[in-house]
Amino acid sequence: MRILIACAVLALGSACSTTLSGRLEGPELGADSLRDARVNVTRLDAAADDQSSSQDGPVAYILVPSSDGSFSSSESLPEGRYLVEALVPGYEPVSEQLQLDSSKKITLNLKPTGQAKARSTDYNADPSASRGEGSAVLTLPQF
Amino acid sequence: MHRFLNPSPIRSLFYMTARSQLAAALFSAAVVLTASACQREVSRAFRVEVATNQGDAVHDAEVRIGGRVIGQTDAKGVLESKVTVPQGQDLSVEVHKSSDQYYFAPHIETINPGKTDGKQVVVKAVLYFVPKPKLAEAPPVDGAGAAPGTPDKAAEVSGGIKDPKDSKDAKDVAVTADHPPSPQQPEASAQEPVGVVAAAPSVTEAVKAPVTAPQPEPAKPALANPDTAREVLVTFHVFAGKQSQPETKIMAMPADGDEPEKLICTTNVRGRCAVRLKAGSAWAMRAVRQGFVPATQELQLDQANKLVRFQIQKGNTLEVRVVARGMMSSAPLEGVVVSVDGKPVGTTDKGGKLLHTFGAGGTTGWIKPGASGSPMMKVELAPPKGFQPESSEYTMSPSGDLLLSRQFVASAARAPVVVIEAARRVSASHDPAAAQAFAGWVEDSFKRKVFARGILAVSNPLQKNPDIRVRRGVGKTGAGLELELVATDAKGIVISAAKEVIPEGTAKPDAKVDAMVERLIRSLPFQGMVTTADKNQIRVAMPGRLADIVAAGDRFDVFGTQPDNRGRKFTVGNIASAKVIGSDDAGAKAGTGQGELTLAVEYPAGDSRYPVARGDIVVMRGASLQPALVEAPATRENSAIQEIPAEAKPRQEKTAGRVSGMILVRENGEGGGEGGKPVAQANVYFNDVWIGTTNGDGLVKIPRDIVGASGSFHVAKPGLKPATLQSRVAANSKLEIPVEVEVARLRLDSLPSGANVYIDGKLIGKTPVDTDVAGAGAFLKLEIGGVDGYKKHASVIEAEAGTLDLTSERSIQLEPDLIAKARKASDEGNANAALEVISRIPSTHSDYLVGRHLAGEIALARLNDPAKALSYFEDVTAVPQVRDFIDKRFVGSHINEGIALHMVAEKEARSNPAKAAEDFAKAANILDRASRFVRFLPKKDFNRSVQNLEYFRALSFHRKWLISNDLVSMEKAGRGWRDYLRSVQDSGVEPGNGNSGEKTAGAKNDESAVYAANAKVYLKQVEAGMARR
Repeated sequence: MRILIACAVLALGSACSTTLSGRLEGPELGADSLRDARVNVTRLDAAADDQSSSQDGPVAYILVPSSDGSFSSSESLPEGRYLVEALVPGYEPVSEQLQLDSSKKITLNLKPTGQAKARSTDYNADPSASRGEGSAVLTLPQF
Repeated sequence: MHRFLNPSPIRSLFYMTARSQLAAALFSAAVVLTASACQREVSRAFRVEVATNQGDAVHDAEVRIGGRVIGQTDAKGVLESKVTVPQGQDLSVEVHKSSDQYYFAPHIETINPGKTDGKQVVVKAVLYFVPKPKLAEAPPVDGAGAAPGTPDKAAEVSGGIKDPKDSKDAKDVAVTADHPPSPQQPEASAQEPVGVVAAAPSVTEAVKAPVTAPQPEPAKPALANPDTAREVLVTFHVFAGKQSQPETKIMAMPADGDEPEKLICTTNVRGRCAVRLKAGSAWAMRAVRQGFVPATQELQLDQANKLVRFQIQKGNTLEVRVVARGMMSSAPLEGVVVSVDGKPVGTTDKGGKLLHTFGAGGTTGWIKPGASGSPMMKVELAPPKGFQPESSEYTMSPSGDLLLSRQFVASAARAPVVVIEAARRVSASHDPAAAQAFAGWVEDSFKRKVFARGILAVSNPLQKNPDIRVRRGVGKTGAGLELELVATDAKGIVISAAKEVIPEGTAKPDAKVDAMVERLIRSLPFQGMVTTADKNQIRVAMPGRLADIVAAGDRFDVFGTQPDNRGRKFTVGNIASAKVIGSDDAGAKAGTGQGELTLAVEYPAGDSRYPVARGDIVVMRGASLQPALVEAPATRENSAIQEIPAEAKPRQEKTAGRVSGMILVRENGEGGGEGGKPVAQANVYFNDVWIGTTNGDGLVKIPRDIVGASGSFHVAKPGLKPATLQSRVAANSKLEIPVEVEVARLRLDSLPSGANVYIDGKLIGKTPVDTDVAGAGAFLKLEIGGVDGYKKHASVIEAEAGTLDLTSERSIQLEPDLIAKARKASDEGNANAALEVISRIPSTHSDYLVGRHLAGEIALARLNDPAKALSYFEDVTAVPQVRDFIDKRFVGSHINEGIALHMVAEKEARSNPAKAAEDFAKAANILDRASRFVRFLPKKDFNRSVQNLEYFRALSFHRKWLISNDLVSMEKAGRGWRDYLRSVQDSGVEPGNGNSGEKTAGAKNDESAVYAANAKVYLKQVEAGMARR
């Protein structure tokens, strides 16, 4: 009987929770590209003068996707309207607005922009010019 | 009574209480009486004598014995009274004095009158005091405290300290010079008021009090220094009329002894200062204030403190400026004693200046110096030892402000140090053998003629900055050896020159060199002093034994002081010129190190209003031009006769008295035409006598001495062909001497040969080359290259006139071009082969750093091995000149090092996040440091390099933030991303907004757009993080 009551309470609690989960999808989306990925969840209907917190909780959440692209809010979010924005380096930011009145699961499709690769900088190989950018005088090395 | 017989219960209670109280009272009284009967009291006669620490009686001082006030002192500072005191007990005696003008420290002591055996108890109280500051009376009108405009009569009469508002206080103390304290109080007068300053109500106020320590013997607290008993306090008060005078210096000189005058104190805002001096000493005191006539007083101290009043008056100022004139430079002369009317008034300061104020004697208006009855003032200047003249006197009219400037010469100053060296460029006809011979002759001649006579001092090898440089040049011409000596000062300005031609087969060429050295020396600006002066003839003392080598006709300028018409300004000026008419043997002045000369004086335009006087200074102007006037030189190559008419309106020169016209030296224009550029720093000779060096406009002045003479002007300068102009010199003429640029010969070979040779970017042939190079004497850019597998050689040569021979063992060794080889291998996709080639570059090779940088780039871009790349870049940035950004070619290496370290940290991030965070921070710092030097990056990919730097700097901070959740790094990352995106925007790259997905044209812009898009994502992450925070 006690177990039943407990289960009923849990079930009721579960039914009342409003979690957000989802998945990032896109070409060549792997562990490396998702290393710095973040999903920014911002509550849109929070009071204007209450940027950081409200009675119901904070207005912004940062979710860290796992290496397979899935993400989930670890806690129950207050009901309200949210902007969910995927911030993945190498991909264009993609966002979606939703009304969270119950737990929801979304999929965000990312569009690649290309990964930034390190580029080296050359030395100033023209000592005869003796001047770099800004007409600065170069000093030759003394061996 | 009835009431008493019918008491109510309340009454009964009352009566009971009353009875109890009464009983208690009676008991108490009994106890008190008993106790009282047990304590014996005695009556004692007290005498309390109250005096200040300066020994003066203090009236109305309140005396308390055992806490009870027993009375106040009388006018003599005494209180006598009989007081009943408990026998055998210690009692406190307190003496207090209050005053509006002074703080008195109370006197407190403990006595036992029971031990006095019935005699009078005498208490001597000493009250230390300091004046109260008068903050409410801000204007320091009267140091004695008088209200503005209120004469302090009492103080004036007696010198006493008096408060006109408090007549009682006027009698509190009587510290007067005229009324010394009673002889019974000598100890009291020796007390030190400064010692009680700390006990006074306010230290701050005490500090404001006009008690200052004397300079020679700083005041010490009396209690700590018993010797001060032999000192007295002397207070100075300086007035001008009724106004107290602050900032007045009190100078003192002991009346006996030879001690110089010293500053002992400076008056404060109330015109006062005080010092402690030895009792019994005698002094000569002066109160000195700028703009006021100093007041003097003689002061004989006894055992009493003194107040000394000075009355000073406004006056006129005598400004004395003294300069020590040196051969190569002049400097202000410190320590010149200035005396006025026989009395020393001070010495010049470091700036060679002295300001003295004197009384306005005479009348207004001007007074002719020396006019009968005029109150003239005699000013005497005595320089420190070693300067000449030993003194100089002036008679000035003291009717206004005066100015006296004077120069002295250092008679025993060190001889200027000279270094003799070969000319950096020699003539086209350079002959090494002749040059060597000439060097020997010159050295020998200087030893005998100059150094032995102490005229100049030879430079030692450690001398970095000699006063004079003498450069010798030699060339071979058709006429023989052409020799030249040019003396320059420390700034490189030619101050003297001499030239000589030694024909082939001359028997004693060294004699000609001797004559040349003498002429050179005789044109140096040596200085001497007039020892005696007649109307047209003077005798001068010259330093060293210069008198030995001067010749008749050698020219001097005479500098003396010129008074104005009013006799108020005496300024230094060139009052005359002079010529040698004879010299006395130096032996006549043996021991002085000087020889004397007799000079004939010539006044400009015959104006002898300012006659030369003893002590005036003479400066050598140059060797005699007389030989130039009588010698008829042989016509030389390149000579041309040119008659130039006198100008209709001669140019007025400042030195018109000595100069008549100008000579312009200019390069021959293209094809020999006119319009060539003026030649600066060319020596111009007239009949082989140096007359000057051209200025920046190619001009040199023609001395008036040679006007009317015919002869030849000769122009000499390295890099120019000798030019000669025959001319008869007319007054105010303007001569023009065209000169041709000399052509140098260049013989050059390279190893391997066959390389292209470029001079100033112009191809002149393939090695070996043997060619003329125009523009000798200039710096030329030499490039040799074009040999496959070898580096291009680039250097700057000073193409000396003559032949520059860079063949055989001086051939230029071309370096193998390993960099090109490595690049080729890298471009062919063989990165490891490229690195192998680079590894063969020795650290002594000029391409070593370039090779390490290139290896780093290959490792980073081709091998994707950031650790290896980091190692190569670190090799470059570890070189001190690169590390400190002195060698700015390798700013790119710093940037690459930062990026390589960032990438190493990226790889570490999973396995060792802590180490990764540390390396991200290091990378960010390296990039941050390099960001200050980006202006030295190559122009071709400047924007890209800067964006690269900014991107990875921001990313390093960003990654550190993500790993360690470090908020500072988050903020720096945010700032970095914003900076990066701004610079991207400035460069015209559209970063895209992630929604539109627009593309920008060009691969480079595509690449930049990728960076920018990523930066935008990172910035959004930071902004989200900040919002979360």
